[in-house]
Amino acid sequence: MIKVEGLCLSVNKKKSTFRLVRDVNYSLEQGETLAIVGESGSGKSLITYALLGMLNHLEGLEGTVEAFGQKNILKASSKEIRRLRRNKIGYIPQNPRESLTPTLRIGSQLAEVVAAKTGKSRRSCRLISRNLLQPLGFSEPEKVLQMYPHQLSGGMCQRVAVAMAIASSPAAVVADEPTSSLDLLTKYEIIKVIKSAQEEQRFTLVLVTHDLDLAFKYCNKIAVVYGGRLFEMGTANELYVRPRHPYTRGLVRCFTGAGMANSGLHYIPGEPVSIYTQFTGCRYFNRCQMRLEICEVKEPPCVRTDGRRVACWLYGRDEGK
Amino acid sequence: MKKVPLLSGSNLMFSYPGSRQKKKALEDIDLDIFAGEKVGILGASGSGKTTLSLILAGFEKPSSGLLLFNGNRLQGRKAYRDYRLRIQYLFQNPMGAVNRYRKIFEIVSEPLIYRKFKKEAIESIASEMLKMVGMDPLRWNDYPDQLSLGQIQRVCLARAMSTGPEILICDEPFSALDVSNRGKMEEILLFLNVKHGVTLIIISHEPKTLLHLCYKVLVLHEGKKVDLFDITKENDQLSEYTMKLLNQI
Amino acid sequence: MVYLRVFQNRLVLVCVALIVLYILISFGGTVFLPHHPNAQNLDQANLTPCPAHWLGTDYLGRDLFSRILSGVRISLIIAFFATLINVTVGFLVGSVSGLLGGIVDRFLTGLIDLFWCIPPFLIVVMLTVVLEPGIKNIFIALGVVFWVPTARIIRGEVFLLRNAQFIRIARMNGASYAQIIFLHVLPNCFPVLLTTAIFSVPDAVLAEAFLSIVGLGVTAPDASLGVLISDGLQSFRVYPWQWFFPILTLSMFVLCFNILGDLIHRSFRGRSKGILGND
Repeated sequence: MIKVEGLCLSVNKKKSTFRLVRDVNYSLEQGETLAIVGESGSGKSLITYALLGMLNHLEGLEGTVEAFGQKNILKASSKEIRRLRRNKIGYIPQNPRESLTPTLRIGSQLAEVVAAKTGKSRRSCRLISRNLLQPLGFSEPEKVLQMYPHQLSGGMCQRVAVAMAIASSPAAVVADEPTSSLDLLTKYEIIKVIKSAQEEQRFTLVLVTHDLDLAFKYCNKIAVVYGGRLFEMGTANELYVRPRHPYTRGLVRCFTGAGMANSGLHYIPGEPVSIYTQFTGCRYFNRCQMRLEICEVKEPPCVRTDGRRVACWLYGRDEGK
Repeated sequence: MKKVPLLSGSNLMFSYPGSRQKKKALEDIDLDIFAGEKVGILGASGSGKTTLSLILAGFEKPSSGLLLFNGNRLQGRKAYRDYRLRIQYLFQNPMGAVNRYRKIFEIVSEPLIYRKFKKEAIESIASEMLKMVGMDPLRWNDYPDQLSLGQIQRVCLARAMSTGPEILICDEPFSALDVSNRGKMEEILLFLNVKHGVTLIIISHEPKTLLHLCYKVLVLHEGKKVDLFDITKENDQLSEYTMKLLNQI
Repeated sequence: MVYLRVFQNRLVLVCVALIVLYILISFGGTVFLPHHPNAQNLDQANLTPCPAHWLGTDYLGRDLFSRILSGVRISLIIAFFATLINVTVGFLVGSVSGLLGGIVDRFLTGLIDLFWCIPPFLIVVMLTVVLEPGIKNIFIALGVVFWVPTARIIRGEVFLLRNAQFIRIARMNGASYAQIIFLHVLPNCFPVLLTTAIFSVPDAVLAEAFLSIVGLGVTAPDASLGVLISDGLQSFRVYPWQWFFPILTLSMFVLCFNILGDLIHRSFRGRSKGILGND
C-alpha cells in the first residue's frame, strides 16, 4: 500500500551538498506495523516526514513515494497534501503536551480536528469526539473534554493526540517517538492503546523509535536506519533471531545484554560519523567490527537476501538473486 | 562501632512554595546512604524523584526533616555551601547542561577556575578527566554543537568529576542516550565507583538500568516511599506497585 | 557564518562598504577635506554646487561638502559613545537584575519602569539643558535614556537563562555572579546585544539630529549632520541643496545600519531553525 523508492534528500550548506537521506526503499501492506529504528540524528524522522509530505518544499528531494492512491506524494500539490493529511494519514507527535494548545479546552481542540477531518458541524463533532475518547481508556471522557492540557498527565495528553490522529479512520498512522517523554508504565499503556486502535481500524502504523523493546514486541517489520541509509530491513522476528548487518547485530546484543542483571555490559564503541561530513564509504565503517577493505571506499548497495534487505558488503552483490 | 552513613535523610518532607494544593511533593522519606554505595531512585514522572535528588544535592531545602552529612546536620548557608562543593550533579539533558558558546576543554575546566586552581593544575586535571571518559584529544577544542549527545554527556561527567566529588547524583543519565551509547556510560559510572570510590545516586524511571547498576533501590510513588530494597538479598515483601514495575522488564 | 551571509547578499555588501566609508571619513579628520569645515568666506556665501565647492556653500560661505564630512564624524562619535553607554549599562543592569532576582531585581525593574513612563526625549532635552549643549553631554544624555529598553530585553533573556542547567551547575560549583555574567550570560546574550547595539546607532544619530534641529545640539562652529540640516532648513525654498545633501547623507547612514542590523538579527535567529523551516 505504501511504496517508497529511491528516497533521497540532500541539503546545500556552506557550498557543499550533504545527503541526509540516501536511497531509502521500502514497501508496506495494509495493516502492517513498521518500526524505524535508529540513533538520534540518523535521519529516521526525515524518512517519515517524506511520507507526510512535509519535505515537498525542499529542492534536494528525489525518489517516489506511492501511497494512498497517489502516484507520488513528493510531487503532490499542497492542496492534495492537505486532503491526504485530512483523510488518509494520522500523526502522533513526540511531545503531546507541547502539541496541544495550552489555552483551549481539550473538547474544543478535538472538535476542531474532527470538524476539519470530517466536514461536519461543530455540534455533532462534540459527540464524535466523546465517542473517540471512549475506547482509549479514559474513565470519564466528558470531564476530560472540559479540561485544559496542563490539567492532564502526559499519558492522557498522548491519548488525546492518538484520538486526533485516528479521528478520520486513516489508512496510515505515523507515530514519531510517541513514548519517549513518558515513563515506563504509561509507555506500555499508550502503545497498547495505539495497537488496539490499529486492530479495530486496520491502519498501517509507522513507528519511529529508538526503543528496541517496542520495536521487537509490537512491530512486525523493522527498518534499521543509520546515517541516512536503510541498513537492514526485515521482519521483527528474523532481525531479532538472526541479525545480518554488523550494526544490527551490535544493537541486538546491546538490547539483550542489558536485559540480564550483572551480565557483561555491551556497547558499540565509537561515535557515529556526523551526517555533515563527506565520506564515500560505508557510514558505519569506523565502528564496524567486521569491516572489509572495500567498505572504506565504496558504499555498499542494498541487497536482498532471503526476504530482507541488507546494505553491507558482507552480503555481496549477487547473493540471493 | 556503628558505621555512620555518608548522607542520611529522615522524615524528609517537601512541598513547592506557592502551590495551592495541599499535596506534598515528598512525604516522610527516610534514606541512608553509605560511602561507596550505588543507590537507585526509581519512580514514574511526578513521583518526586527529581525533587528528592535536588534536596540531596542541596539545591532545595526540605520543608521539614533532617538531612545529615557525615553525621552533621546540614543547616545554614555555610554548611550548604561546603556541602555543595563535595557533591556533583549530572543532568538529564546534556545539551542544556553545557554552554553552547564554550569549548569542551573550557567546560571541563570551569569548576576548577571557580575554585581558583592554578593554570597548570587546571590543564592537567581537565585533560586527565577528558581522557578518562574517552574523549579524543582532537575534539577538545570543539564546541558542543559539533558533538553527539553521548559525547556531551561524557563531557558533563568529566566536568563533574574534575572536582573530585564524594557523591555523584545522576538524574536520568541514560534517557537522552542511544542504546549503543548507554553501555559506555554505564561502564564509566561503574569505573568511577570502583576506582575513585564515588558514591553514586542514580535516578531513573527504568527498573532495568537501575537493577543493573545499583545495589540499593528506593521506589517512590506520588511522593511517598513505597519500597527500599537491596537487590543482592531475597526480597519477598515487596509492595504491589514495585512488583508491577519490575514485571515490565 | 555571519560573515558568509553578509557577503552573499549584494545589498548588504553595499551597506557595509558605505558604513566603512563613513567610518573612514570620520577617522580621517580634517586632513582629506578640500576646505576647512569652519572657514568662513562671506564673499562666497550661498553658492550653488560648482567645481570649487562640490556641494555649494552655506550662508557664511563655508564649504558644504567639507562640513558634511566633518558632520558625519561628529554624528558618528556621538552615536558610538551613546551606543557604548547603552550596551554596557543595559547589559549590566539587565543581567544583574535577571540573575540576582529578589530585591535587587525589584529595585532595578522599578528604575526601568520609572524611566519607561517618562517620554525619553523629555529626559534628553532636560539633561542637555542642565548639562549645557556639547558633544560629550549629548551622548551622555542619549546614553541615559537608551539603556532602558536594552536592559529590559537583556533581563528577559537572562530570566530564561538563569534556570538553565549550565548556570545551575556553575553556581553549584561556587561561581561568583561576575563569573556567571561574563562566562555564561554574555556569550549567550551576545546575538541580542549585537543586534540592539547596531540598531541603536541610527537611533542615536537621529536623536542627535532632532536635538540639533530644536537647537540643543552641538555648539557652533562645530557641526553635526543635525546642525547642518537645521541650518539648511532656514532657507528651505531658496537654497534646497543646503538641506538636501545633509539629509541624504543622514538617511543613507541610517538605512545602511538598519539593513545590516536586520541581516545580523536574521542570521542569528536562523541558526536555530531546522530543516523543516517554512512548512
